[in-house]
Amino acid sequence: MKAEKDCCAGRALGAGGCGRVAFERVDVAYHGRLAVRGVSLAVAPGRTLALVGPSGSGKSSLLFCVNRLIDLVDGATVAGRVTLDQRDVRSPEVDLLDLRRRVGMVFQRPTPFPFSIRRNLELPLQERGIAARSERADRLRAALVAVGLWDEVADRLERPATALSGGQQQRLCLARALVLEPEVLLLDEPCSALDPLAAAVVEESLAALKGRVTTLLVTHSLAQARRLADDVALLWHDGSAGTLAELQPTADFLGSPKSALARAFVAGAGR
Amino acid sequence: MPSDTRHEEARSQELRRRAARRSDALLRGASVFGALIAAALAWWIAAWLVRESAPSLAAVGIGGFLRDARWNPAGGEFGLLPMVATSVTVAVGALLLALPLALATALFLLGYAPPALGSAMRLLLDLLAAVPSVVVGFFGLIVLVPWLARIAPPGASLLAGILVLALMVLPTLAVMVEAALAAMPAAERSAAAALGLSRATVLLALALPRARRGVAAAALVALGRALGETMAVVMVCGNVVQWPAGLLLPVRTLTANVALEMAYASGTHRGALFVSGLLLLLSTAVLVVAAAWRGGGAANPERRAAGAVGA
Amino acid sequence: MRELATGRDVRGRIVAVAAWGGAALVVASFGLLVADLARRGAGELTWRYLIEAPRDAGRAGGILPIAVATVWMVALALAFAAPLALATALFLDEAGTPSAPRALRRAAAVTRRSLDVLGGVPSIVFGLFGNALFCRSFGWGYSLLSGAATLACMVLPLMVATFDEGLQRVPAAERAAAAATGLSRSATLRHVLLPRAAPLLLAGTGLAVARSLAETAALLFTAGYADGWPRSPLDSARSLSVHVWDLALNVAGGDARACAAALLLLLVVLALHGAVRGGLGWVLRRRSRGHGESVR
Repeated sequence: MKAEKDCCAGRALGAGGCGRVAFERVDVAYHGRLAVRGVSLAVAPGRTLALVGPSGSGKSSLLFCVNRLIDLVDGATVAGRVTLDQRDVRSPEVDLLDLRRRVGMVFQRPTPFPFSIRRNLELPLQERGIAARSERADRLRAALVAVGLWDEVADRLERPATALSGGQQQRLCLARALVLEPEVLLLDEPCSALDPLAAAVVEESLAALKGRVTTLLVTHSLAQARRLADDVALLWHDGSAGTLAELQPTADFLGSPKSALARAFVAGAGR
Repeated sequence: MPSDTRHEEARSQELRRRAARRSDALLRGASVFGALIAAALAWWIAAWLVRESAPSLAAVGIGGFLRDARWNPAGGEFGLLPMVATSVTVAVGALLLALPLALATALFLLGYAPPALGSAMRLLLDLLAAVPSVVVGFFGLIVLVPWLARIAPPGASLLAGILVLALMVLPTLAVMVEAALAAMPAAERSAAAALGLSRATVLLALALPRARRGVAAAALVALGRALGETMAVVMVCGNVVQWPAGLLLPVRTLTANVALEMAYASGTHRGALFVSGLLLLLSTAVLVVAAAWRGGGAANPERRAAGAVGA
Repeated sequence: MRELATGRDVRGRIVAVAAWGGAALVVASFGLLVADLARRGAGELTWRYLIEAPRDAGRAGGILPIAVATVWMVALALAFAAPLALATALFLDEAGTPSAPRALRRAAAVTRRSLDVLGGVPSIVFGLFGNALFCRSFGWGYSLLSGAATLACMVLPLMVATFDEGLQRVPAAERAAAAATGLSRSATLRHVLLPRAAPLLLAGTGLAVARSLAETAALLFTAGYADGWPRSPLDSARSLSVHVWDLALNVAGGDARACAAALLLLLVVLALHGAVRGGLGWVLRRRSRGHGESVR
């Protein structure tokens, strides 16, 4: 499949693709009950999109569609097209494992594996087939540097990952996602389970990554969206399912929201 | 008259309350009594075994049981060691054979079986666990031993015992190992999936290391079961008292010995059999406690079975 | 974990083959056991076999007195064990309430641990115990009664575990309602606990029956070998499992009849297990459907 002409020019990260994510009239239902209806949006390569909205509006569901983690949810069905680099992620030619390596994800709660820090990062690399120890070491270091953890843990890579603080664990999870050099990064409220100090440190790491990877960020905080996102998409539950209420660049969304819903949201939820 | 009826009501209520208190007290008494007996039973068994083996222990001495070269009660020789060695060898051998198979079955149930097939498999494991040991032993006697006799004479041997015991401990082992593997938290599974880790990697590199304690507990339980098994080994092992020096040698376990000789044993001989019984009791008790300590909580297959039945 | 994708690499394939292969091996072993016994024993398993008495040390004839003795032994064992198990389970249940004093809770823990150990005791050791206590000390000799008493000791842990599980599943809301209306413990037992726990109580009893039927080693020198009609509980009698053992090992040429007895024993035990599991599943499913919200 052809990639768009404007991407792939001067790309630093990404192997093969450029990370353009698009949703075309996507519905998500759980056990037959519609949770998300008719969402269409696109994220250009390298841009960060914040998905905001009240609980239950389907933000996380959309996120899970991109790397097909929605398949793990019992009874979940997806209609419409979700594409990565203009290729439908659910087409039979797509290698599911390859897809999930090209799309990284960080969850709300830190989920380090019960191994050493080093093994947490090396396992995905080994799976990917990177056999050369030196290359693994390079990538490991690069990922830890990118999230600002290298200085803190370089001398104790063999220690268990679970001994790290919450903020450090979450940054480790971020590094673990980055170590595969994904083209897309999915962040599901990455700071909401952390204390304010830890959240701030994680946000710093995310800010440093801005522009390098296409990012979809689900967040409850408009302030965080302002700090980290290029564009904002407001999702709203209209009584029957979640729908896309407004999609604009961040400054426009916060400064002059178009719809009444967005105006109310910015006024009420903006902190 | 109104005051009379009220008086009547109060009286009957009081009677009912007293009856309720009485029955509650009775119930409480009965439950405490029941628990006392249930708790004391294991100790009672130990006490009786000690009582019956004391004279022989005194006469032969612990050293005698350990150092006598042969088991020859008529001649006053009570060397238990060859049979102890056989019991241990058969049990450990069965465990070594059954554990990989149980792991494979657990992996199948957890990661590869479609739901309908998985349920059928679980039912099959339950039924296999329910097969009486005398039936398994009989099957071993009429099918396995003749078959072994053709390819590796004489047939009735240590190997036959290992094979039969492995078949017996396999079902419970598989169920317990699966439960241990399935204990991986869903969040970790999602994280692993999001990283593009394959099914095999998640099962082997993530679920299995996490399950070490549970698998160890399951192994201890299986070992206890194998040590205590009597009927199956009597029927297929050949029952010659000797050191288990080779897989094809006919051997006799401690349990088989008791089963075969108890009928006509008396005096010191009978006491010696009780000594071996005491040995078996102690070793299985240690294994049960160790399994519970390692696995934490319902490591006892009975309790686990109860939980599984209700599931 | 089936939702996870398999890898296309060699290791993923090896693991998949090992998993399917292991499972197939287990199924094949079980199938071989059942099929072979069925093939050899089905011919002998006739109506006449069930209603005749054994002749010629069991080489001919049937198993009626043995079947009757087995039923008696199991029934007596249950009569001993079931009330004891229920009483113990009730004790454990009461000790499990949050307001129970520490001493009570420790007593319950000790009881549980002792029962765990009891559950792991080899059956031959139970035989030794039964022989020493019931046959000799109580003076019952080789008898149906001794066998039943020994069996009762053996199935006690299993019954207590299942009864305990049954009582634990009584919804806390119902217990609270009973307590709030001032119901006495015995009334709560009769109207709330027992009905709610009934499926698992029955299941525990069923499993105990299956276990008793399967038991051989404990009966060899407590109930003995006599294959005639037991006239009183103090008569020696053999169970079906002991009959299989005797024919297989002690009687030359008894193989054919042993196959029949083994097949019968296997079928009864498997049917019982299947019935317990199936029945329990059905009852629990029906309950959860009918009581939608109230049960958790």
